[in-house]
Amino acid sequence: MRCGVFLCECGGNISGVLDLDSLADSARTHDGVVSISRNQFMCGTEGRRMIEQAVEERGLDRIVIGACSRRFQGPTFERIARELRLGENAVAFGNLREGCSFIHRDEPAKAQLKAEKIVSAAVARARFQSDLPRGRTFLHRSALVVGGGIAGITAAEELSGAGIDVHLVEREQSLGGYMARLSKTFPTEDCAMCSLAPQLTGAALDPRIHIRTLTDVTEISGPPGEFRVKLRQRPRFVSEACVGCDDCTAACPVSVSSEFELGVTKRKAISRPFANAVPSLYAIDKRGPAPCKSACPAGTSAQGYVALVAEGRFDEAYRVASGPNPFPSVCGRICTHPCERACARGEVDEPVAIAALKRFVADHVGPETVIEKVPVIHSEKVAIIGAGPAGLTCARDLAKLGYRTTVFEALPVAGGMLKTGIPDYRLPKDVLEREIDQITALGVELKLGQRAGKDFTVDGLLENGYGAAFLAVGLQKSSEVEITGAELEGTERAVEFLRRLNLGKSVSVGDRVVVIGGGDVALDAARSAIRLQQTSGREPNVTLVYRRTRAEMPALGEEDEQAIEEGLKVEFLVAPLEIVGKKGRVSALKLQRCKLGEPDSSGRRRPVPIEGDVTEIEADTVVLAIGQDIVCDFLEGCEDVSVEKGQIRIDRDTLMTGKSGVFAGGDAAATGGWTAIEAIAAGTRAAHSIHNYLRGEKLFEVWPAKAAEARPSAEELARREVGQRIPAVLLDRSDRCASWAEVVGGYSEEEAIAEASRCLACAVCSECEACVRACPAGAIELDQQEETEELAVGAIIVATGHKEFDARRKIPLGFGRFSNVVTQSQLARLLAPSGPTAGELERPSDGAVPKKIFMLQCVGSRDCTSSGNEHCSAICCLFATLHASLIKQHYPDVDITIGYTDLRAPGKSHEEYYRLVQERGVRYVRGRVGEVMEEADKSLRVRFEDTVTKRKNEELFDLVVLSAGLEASAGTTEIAHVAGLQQGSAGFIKEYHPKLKPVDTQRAGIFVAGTAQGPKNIPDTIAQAKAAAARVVSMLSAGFVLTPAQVASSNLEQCIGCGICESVCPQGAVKLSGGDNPHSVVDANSCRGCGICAAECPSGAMTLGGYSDEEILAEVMV
Amino acid sequence: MTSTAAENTRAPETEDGAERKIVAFFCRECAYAAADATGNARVSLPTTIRSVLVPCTGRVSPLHLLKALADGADGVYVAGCLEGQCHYREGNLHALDRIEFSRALLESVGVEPERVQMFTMSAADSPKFVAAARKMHETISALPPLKRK
Amino acid sequence: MAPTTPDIEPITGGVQLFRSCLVTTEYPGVESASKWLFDRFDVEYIVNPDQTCCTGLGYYSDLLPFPTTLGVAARNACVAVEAGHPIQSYLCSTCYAINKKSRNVLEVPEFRKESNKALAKIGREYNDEVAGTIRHMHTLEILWSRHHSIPGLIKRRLDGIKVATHPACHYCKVFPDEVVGDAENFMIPEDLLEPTGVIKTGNYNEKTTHCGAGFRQRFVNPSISVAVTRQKLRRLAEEKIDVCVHMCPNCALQFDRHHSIIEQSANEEYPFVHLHTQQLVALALGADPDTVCGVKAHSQNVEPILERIGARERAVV
Repeated sequence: MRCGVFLCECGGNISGVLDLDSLADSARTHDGVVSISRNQFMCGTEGRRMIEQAVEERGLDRIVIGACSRRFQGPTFERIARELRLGENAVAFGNLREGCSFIHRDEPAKAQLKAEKIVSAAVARARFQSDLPRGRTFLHRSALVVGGGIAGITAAEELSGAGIDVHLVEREQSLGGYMARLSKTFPTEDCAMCSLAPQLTGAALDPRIHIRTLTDVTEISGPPGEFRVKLRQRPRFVSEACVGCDDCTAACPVSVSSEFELGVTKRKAISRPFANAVPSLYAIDKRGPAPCKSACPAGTSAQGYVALVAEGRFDEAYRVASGPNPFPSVCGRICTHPCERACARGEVDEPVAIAALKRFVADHVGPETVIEKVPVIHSEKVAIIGAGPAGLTCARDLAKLGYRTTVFEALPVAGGMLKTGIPDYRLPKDVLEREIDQITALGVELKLGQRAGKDFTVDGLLENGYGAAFLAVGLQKSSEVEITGAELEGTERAVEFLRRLNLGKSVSVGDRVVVIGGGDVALDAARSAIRLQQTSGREPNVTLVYRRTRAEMPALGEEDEQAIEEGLKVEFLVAPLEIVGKKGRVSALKLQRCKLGEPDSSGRRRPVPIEGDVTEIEADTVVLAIGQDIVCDFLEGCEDVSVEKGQIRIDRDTLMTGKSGVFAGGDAAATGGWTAIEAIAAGTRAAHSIHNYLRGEKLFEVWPAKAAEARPSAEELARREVGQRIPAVLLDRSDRCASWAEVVGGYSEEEAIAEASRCLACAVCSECEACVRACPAGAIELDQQEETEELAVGAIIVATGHKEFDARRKIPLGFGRFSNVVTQSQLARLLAPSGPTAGELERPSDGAVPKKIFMLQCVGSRDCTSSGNEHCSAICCLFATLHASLIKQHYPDVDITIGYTDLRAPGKSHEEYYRLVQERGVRYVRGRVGEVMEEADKSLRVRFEDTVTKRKNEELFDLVVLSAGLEASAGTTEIAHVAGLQQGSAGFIKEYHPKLKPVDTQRAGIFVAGTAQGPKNIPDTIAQAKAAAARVVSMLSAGFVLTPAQVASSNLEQCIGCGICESVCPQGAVKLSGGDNPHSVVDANSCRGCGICAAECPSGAMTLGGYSDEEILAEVMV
Repeated sequence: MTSTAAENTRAPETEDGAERKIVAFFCRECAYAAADATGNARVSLPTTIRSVLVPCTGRVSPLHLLKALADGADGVYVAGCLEGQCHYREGNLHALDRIEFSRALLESVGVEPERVQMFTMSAADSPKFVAAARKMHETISALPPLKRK
Repeated sequence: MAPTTPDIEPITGGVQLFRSCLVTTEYPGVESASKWLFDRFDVEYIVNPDQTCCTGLGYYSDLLPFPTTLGVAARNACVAVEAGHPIQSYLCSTCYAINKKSRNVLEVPEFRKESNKALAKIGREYNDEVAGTIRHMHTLEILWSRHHSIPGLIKRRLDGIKVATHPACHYCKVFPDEVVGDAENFMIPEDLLEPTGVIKTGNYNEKTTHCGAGFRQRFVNPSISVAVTRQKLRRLAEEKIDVCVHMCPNCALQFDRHHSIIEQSANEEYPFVHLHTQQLVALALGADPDTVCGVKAHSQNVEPILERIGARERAVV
């Protein structure tokens, strides 16, 4: 080493405390020091010349500077060394000023000793400093701009002007950002849209600007200059064919709060935020299946028909309701409606009465619907065994696919359990028949009285021209129960009992009936028995006995309530022991009392007998309703089909039995529960499978996993007003028990519309497809999928903007609770000529022009409580002033008060504007508001203190406007995570240096502009966007960049491939590579030189340029 | 060169007989900036403290801390950014882990663990920097000189 | 309405029930109900005979200088830590605020030194160990930390009873950032009661307006004091509540003792009663109204509400 030591006097700052001559003498004694110089200002031109001279004359290869802090003049000396071609790491520093002379002025002797150590340490360090290599990265001449507000658009335009390709990415459906929402801008009061619209069009037409909307950035990797960016584009569901005619929004039945209008008005599920939007295409807000649709085994778009009912469009509603389900009228009555259990409205008050609405639609429209017969287009015939809901649905769906189908039914009537199991008072026979007629009208052939295995065989059908068969034979007999006395006269089995009744055969019951069981069949039998007793002039005397409690009863809650109203007696926690008989007839039922024990496999608590507690009920009829069983007649002549545990064995994906071409479903081969809607769903699936089988297509189709359902957040639900569902009308008890008339009445039109309006539109788009039918351009594409894309770009500008502070967080100010409390941005919409009121100022509660307005400043800003932000939001004082001025000019009589903390109007022409508006008569009061209270007439009582006059005021206002502050937008937080950028207070992106590098971020090659960086007005935003663009241009114009010198590097010989470095690197710059024999590799462009990896490396392979262990220890050990 | 350094490792004996040596690692982003601000404000500090600039406290390894003590320092401390404000996300937390590790190690061989400490501060918080330096000085002055075998 | 108060770490032991002068002398049922609930929630606690008054009344009436309050607070912290029960559970929000404030002031070396001079005379010291160990919590916070056990313990449903919270200013306003939940819409009392079937009021006009007591204001400026109380009573009446639930004996005292007097003098009706949160929760969990909740100490007639919830019908525990 040939080292020169350069000592700086710093104009006396150093030399006034330290004796530099003595220091020079001590420095001279160190090995390797060949030159000593001192100067008044070593950083000046004279100092530079001394260094140059010493390097040349003394052949220096290392320089030690004893001067001020390295953080201060370090770069100056490093540059000199670089220019003298000494390399990247030739300078060592001794901090004689901030580190010694400044802080030890009182103890010069000790300071002198310390200074010697400092210089000695620097010399020691210099010995270990070696040159650091720097690489070159060639730059992509393209940039990514994240955020399509005014900042993003401006930056994109500037970059395009410099010949750089720009990918402009926006997460919303159109460009424009916040500025598009403003009415006018301060201080010139010119129209915001007038200045924005040409920019939008310009960007859209610019061949170098590639716009992607509904797009999120999901990953940024690689070094600056050659970033790799992953994008995810959400589906728009509307293609480029859209001509913007607006027919779709007229057709769409779903209205939700408009984000663009900040909730001031509503929009449709298909919409375009504003007329000049770029791109001009509409988009559908489709968030997945609604909970009701997701819960329906048949996948009915319940939200869809409910939305259409709410609009009074019953025909279309019927079309949606009957799409996957040929029995809407039936299901509207007897479905177990899992949709209602899933309904999000149930978390607010009560679920929407979805089933009742379906019934309304089907009853209203069904009969008039003209059936379009589908021509037979396939030669294969399909046989369906069983005319229940599964069989008939399958037949209908196959007919719609163009197949000839024949339904074989053992009984003389069609309908299966719907016909023979459910009594008339729940499901009138004509309702069922009407829907069956619609199925046969499609050309489905019904062959009644044909029992499989007896009158024909399945194998026989397949041999005689049928291409496939579907077994939907159901569970047609009661389960056998082992109980003493089951053979006695007066013992009935529920399935058979109900079948005889529903087929019109003569049935009678005794005076005292006991029904055993807790399911729907038990209740049907019990209520039928009550009617049998009453129609024959007897008092009802029917008791239901059930082993558990009401909470565990599988029957529908509303139904057992109706039954009890009709006089049904219920005994819970009793298990039948024996049917007691006298002379061969039933005389009583012996019961064991139970209590609830541990839950069983079904999750219900198991009844446990209470030892010795036995009771008896007198009875002359006992109905056993404890389950159903399959009747296996059909197996005769049906090879390779087997029944196991009472169910036909099938493949659960295809529903195919052991025999090729023979499928099974419904109760006889259930894939879910034994309910009508599950049977209907099975019929649809069977039709698909049979079609696939016959066409030789993907027989083993796996049904797609259900998409995650769309559900409003708990917070949204909490905000909903609590109401209640419109109750169905019930027949009077005395009327209904003496007849078989339907008990539950349907809704009137008004009731149906009111009930349907309770829907929360969980999924926004209800998938009713009204827009598909309405679009003249055929632009709706409901099956569009999310797409991903990868780009390579040289630089990135983050312009993701801000969001308005959620004023709900300031609870005493009443926002979100009181209709006449709005935010300043909402007021902007109310004042905008393009807004919902066409620029007329109307207060939300009644549309009247407010006479007295209070504007409340610093909402969520300059606020040290935990619900607010500390920062000043910078624009609110003038935003309020602007709106006050606009209102004053249009409505001179309106009285406006602005309650402020401090009035801040810096910036060009802003103070003048404030004075002007004061002169227009706007009252400014210094003081913050304690509380806003709502009066009965929706006017608002505001309590505030005037801190100038020191008076407490309480006044009534018609409208209160909250100047809610600015916070980082969700998009800003998201990009900060993706790009690894730091966020400061309220989430704004931290700039690299607040003064010197205001648009650079911590990550090289990524820049920030606009309100993503902090609150600011439009001119400042534009200036910053242009600055960021300039930074990108200057970076990319160089053609290449040098990698930084102070980066980590790994010694391959020593690296053991443990991967600790990769796990600790905050930049993701260190990666393991090399497959089976891994070693760490540093991406020098991404490394920012923190050295965490070097300190963590267990093998000593990793080091940091300029801060190797040797360099640090040399300094430490002196 | 190393031999010269070794000769200089003996703590200088001043009049009061006990000038100690404290090695301090300052992160470039916060603590070193606070040190500069302190200097510019001409605040008097104990001369015992010898600062070493590191890019981030995450660069400091137990080797550096222990070697400093083994080679003549009576105390050593690390000063970095406030928790959650590290310019490299978690460098200061890594440093804290290593300091705790080093303290445990020292304790196991009978050396007072308070000879190794960590402080955090913002770049603007000169008072906190001064307090840290003085506290460290007081702590170390109250301890006997570190005995080495 | 789902609970808005965030869950906090469950407290199971090490609690010292900090006795309050107002609770002890005016509404002893609040203390006994709190103890009764601690037992139900399996919270291990002690009542420490060495604990003394927080000095709040004296301090806020300008009778005691602050160093006295500080020394007493330091001593109270020492005795709690010595007893191995460092979680001070306050029944009164003034005790809470004054001790918590003192904790902060005791971090200032001069004040700590001064207090320790006094403590030295009784052989105690408020040192880093005490400062680092002592914790200050309102009793409602401790109950909230165990609120998941409430649904399984309910013996009397409170279906249809509408309750409103009167947030205590010395809890919500002195340390707004340390409030569990929202300082401007404090909800623990209602959230604790939610499983019992009560109707919650949530936020209401002037929720944060105080009770009017203001320590000596009650005596020195009775007209202002009572005017504020009346304003608050009218606001509560607008909400058509059945019970106003309290968390501070100062508020409860101001309301309970003045309720009927204000009704008569203003010729207005405020048809509801005042109870401490702990009393109402305990009633729902089956506590005896007299021996546990001490309702006879109330000036208002609370019998109708007790009858409504079936607390007079039968002993359930």
